[in-house]
Amino acid sequence: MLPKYFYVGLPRADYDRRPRVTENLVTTDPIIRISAGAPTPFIADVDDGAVPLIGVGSTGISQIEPLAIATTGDTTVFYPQCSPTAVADLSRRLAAGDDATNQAEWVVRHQPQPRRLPIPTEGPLAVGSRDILGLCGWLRPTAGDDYRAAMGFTEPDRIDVQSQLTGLQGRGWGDIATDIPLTDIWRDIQEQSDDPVLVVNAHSNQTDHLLLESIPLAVLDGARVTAGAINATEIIIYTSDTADMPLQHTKAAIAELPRGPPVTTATGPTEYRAGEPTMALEALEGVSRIEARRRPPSPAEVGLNERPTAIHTPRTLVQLLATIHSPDRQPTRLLRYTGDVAAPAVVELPETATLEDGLGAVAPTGPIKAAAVGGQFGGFTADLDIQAHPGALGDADLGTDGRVEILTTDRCVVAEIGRRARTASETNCGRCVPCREGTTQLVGLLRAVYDGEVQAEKIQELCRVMDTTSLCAFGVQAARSVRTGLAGFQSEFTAHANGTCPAGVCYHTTVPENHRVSS
Amino acid sequence: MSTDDPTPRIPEIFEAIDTGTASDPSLPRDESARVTVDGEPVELAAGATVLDAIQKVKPDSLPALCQYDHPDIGPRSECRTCVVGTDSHGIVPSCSYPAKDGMAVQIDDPRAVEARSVNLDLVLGNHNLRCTTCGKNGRCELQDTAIDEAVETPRYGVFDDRSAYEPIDDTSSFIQIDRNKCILCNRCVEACNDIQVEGVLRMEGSGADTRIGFQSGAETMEESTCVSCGHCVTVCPTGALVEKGFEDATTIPLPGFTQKNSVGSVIEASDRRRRPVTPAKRDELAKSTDELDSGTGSPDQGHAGDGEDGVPDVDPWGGGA
Repeated sequence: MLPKYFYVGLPRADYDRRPRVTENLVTTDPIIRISAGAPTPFIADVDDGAVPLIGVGSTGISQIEPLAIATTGDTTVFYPQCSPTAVADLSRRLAAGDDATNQAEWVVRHQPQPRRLPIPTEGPLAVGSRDILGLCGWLRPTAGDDYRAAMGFTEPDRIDVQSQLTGLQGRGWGDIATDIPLTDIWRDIQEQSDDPVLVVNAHSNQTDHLLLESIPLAVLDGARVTAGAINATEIIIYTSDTADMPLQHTKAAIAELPRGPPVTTATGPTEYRAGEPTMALEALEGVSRIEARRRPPSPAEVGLNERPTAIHTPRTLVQLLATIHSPDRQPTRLLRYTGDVAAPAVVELPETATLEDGLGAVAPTGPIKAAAVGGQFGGFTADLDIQAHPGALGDADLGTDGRVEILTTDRCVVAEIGRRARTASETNCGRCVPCREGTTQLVGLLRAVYDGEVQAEKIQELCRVMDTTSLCAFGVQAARSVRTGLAGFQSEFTAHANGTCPAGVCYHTTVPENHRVSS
Repeated sequence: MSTDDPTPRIPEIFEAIDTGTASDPSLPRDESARVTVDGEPVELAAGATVLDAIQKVKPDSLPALCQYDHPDIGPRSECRTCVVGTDSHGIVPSCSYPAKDGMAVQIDDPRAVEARSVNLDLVLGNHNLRCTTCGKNGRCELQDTAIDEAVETPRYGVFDDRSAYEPIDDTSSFIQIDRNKCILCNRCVEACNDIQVEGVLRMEGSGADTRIGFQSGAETMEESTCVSCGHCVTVCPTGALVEKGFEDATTIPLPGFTQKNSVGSVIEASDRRRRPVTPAKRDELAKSTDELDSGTGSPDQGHAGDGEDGVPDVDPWGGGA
C-alpha cells in the first residue's frame, strides 16, 4: 500500500519530510489518480484508505480536470470534472470490488499495469497522439520511482547523437535551435574549448510550464542526455519568476535524479522578452535591465558567462527523449489551444496532422473566425487546415511556438492586431531600430486605418524590414502578426477605413463619420 | 590617499558599473578571410567585419549610423542602416557581422537597400529635426547621412510633437543633453564606462521609453556623478550631447527662435553649490573640512541632504534620491 499523501500544493519543506516512496504508481493496483493542474485538497477529505488515492500531474486538458482516473487490472475508467463525493463513491465501489465502469465517462481496456495514461477512444484525451503527454496525468510529478517504472532514466553516454537524433529540431522561440537541427547547434558547441553549459529555457511558454509541472523528471532526463551529448558540466533550469508550480516541482524533481552534472534552477523577470534566448542569458547573469545580445557569435559559441551554451526548451528535450526511446517514431508537436475556448488545452499532434485536428480538445465559445498561431505574436489565419509541421506553418507565414489562439466571430481582427502591435511597442527591449521604432510606427499606421487610411504597402514594407533586420526574434514576430492579419483579413481593414467594424467591437462604429475621433 | 596600499582599486569601480546594456560577445578573431564586395575581391585580416571589407572597396557607401571607429565602442549594431546582402547569410548588419571566407557581399541587394532606407527613416521619425536651432547643425552625423542618402521627406515624418518632447537638460555647466535628438547608439555609454571608466551614463527603460540616463538614478546631469570629461560629447553623432557654449553655435538666427525654445521646456541649473561627487574626492574633502572645522559634525551628514547648502539628497553610488 502506498503511503497516504499527495504531492499537490505541498509547501517546499513538506517535500523533504514526506515518507519515502517504496512503490510506484505504475504497479499499484487498484488505484485512483486525481489529475489536476492546481492543488486538489479534497483528496485528503475523501481518502478513506481503502484504495490508494493519489494526486498526479495535469493531463494538459484543464477542461476535464480534476479528472479521476481509476485503474483495476486491465480496466481504466475516467471521471472528468469529478466532485469530492463522486471520488469518495468511486473509492467505495472500487474497494467493494463493484463495477466502476457504469457511470464512467470513458472506459479503456489495456494490459495490466500500463506505463502511460490509457487513451480513451473519444473525448479530448483522444485528440492527436499522447506519445509524450502519455506520462502527464499518470505519474506523481516529483516521484523518481514513478518515473523509473514508467520510463527509466536514460544513460546519457549510451546515446549516439548523430545517428539517433538526425534532423530533430528545437521547439519554440526560446530555443536556439528553433526549427533547425539540434545537432547543428551542438556541433558549434563542441568546437569550443571551454566547458559548455545547458540552459533549459522554460521561461514564458505555458506548454513548457505544463511539462515542468507535470513531468519534470522527463524534462530533466532529456536535459541530462543533452548535457551528455555536448559534455555540459552544468544544467540550469530557467523560468519566469511567476511560474511557481513548475519551479517548485522542478526543484523537488532534481533531488530524485541519478548522479550527473549539477542541476540548478533560476528565474528571470516575467516580461515575455525575457524568454528570448540571449535575453534569458542576460537575466541569468543578473543584469538590471534586459536587452537582446548582438549575434553572431551565437550563444552556442559565446553564451552564459562567455561559456558555450545550449539553450533548449522543455518541449525540445522531451521530444528528444521520446526519439531516443523509440528511434523510428515520427516527431510530434505540442500545441496549446487557447483564446476563445472554455478552457485551454495542450494537445500533441503528429506533424502531419492539421491545426484543425487539435480543435477536438477544446470547446470554442462561438463560431471560429481566425486563429493566431505561434507565440505571443502569432500569425493570423482563417484556415486551420494547415499541417502542424514547421515547414507547412512557415509556408502559411504562421509561427511554430506552439500556441493556437482561437478567435471567435465576435472578435475584430484589426483590433486584435492593433493590440499585439501596441504590446510589441511597449514591451520590446528597446535596443534595435527596426523593432523599437518599427513597432511604434506600426501602431501609428494601424491607428491611421481608423482614420480612413489603409496604407497597405507602407505596412508591408515596414514588416519586411522588421523581419529581415530586427536584432532578435521579437521584432520578427511582431511584424508577423500585422503582416498576416493584413494579408488574410484585408476586407476588415477596408471596412474599418470606411468607418465600420464588422464584428461591432471597435469604439467608433456608432459614431457618425463627421464625429469620428482620430486616435 | 594612503600609500600603504599599493593595490589600485579599479576592479571595484568596474564592479559598481551598471551600463544597462547587454554583454555582447566579442567578435571572433581567429581567421582571415577573402570575400567579394559587389564582385570585387577583398583580402581581410582576422577579426574583420563585412563593413571593413566594404570600406576597402567602396568607402563610406553605407550610412552605418551607430558605428564608431574605436575598438572599445561598439559595434552596437542597433540602427541597422548598414545592412547588406550576402549569398550565404542573407541580409546581415555589416558593422558587426564577421567577414567569412568566401562570402559574396552585395551592397545593392534590393532588400538591403530597402531596409537601410526604412531604418534611416525610422531613426529620423523619432528625432527632433529642428536642425536650424541645433548646435550640431552642419556637424551632425545624422544630418550628413540624411543628406548623403538624399532623404527629403522621411516616410514616417519627423518627431515634431512638442508635447511629447523631453525637456532639455541644461543643468550641467559643461554638457547639455537633448534626448529628443538621441538615436540610442550607445556610444556615450561606452565612452563613459568602457573608456573613461566613470560609470555615470547608462541605458535605461525599454520600448519607446528607452533613454540615456544616469547610473546613480539622478534625474539631471547636474545631480549625476558626471565629472565633465566630455568624452560622451565627443562621440555623440547628433545634437543629443553638446558642449555648453556650443549648444547654439551653429543655429540660424531667426527672430524669436532659440536653441532652447525650439524644444519647449528646459531643466535649468539649480545654481546650488555642489560638493565633489566621487567618493574619493568627497573623503578628501571630508578630511580637510574636519581639519579646518573643529567638530561641527562630518560634512557627509551635510551631503546627505540637510538642504542647508542646497546639496541635493542624492547618494551618487546608492541609486537614487
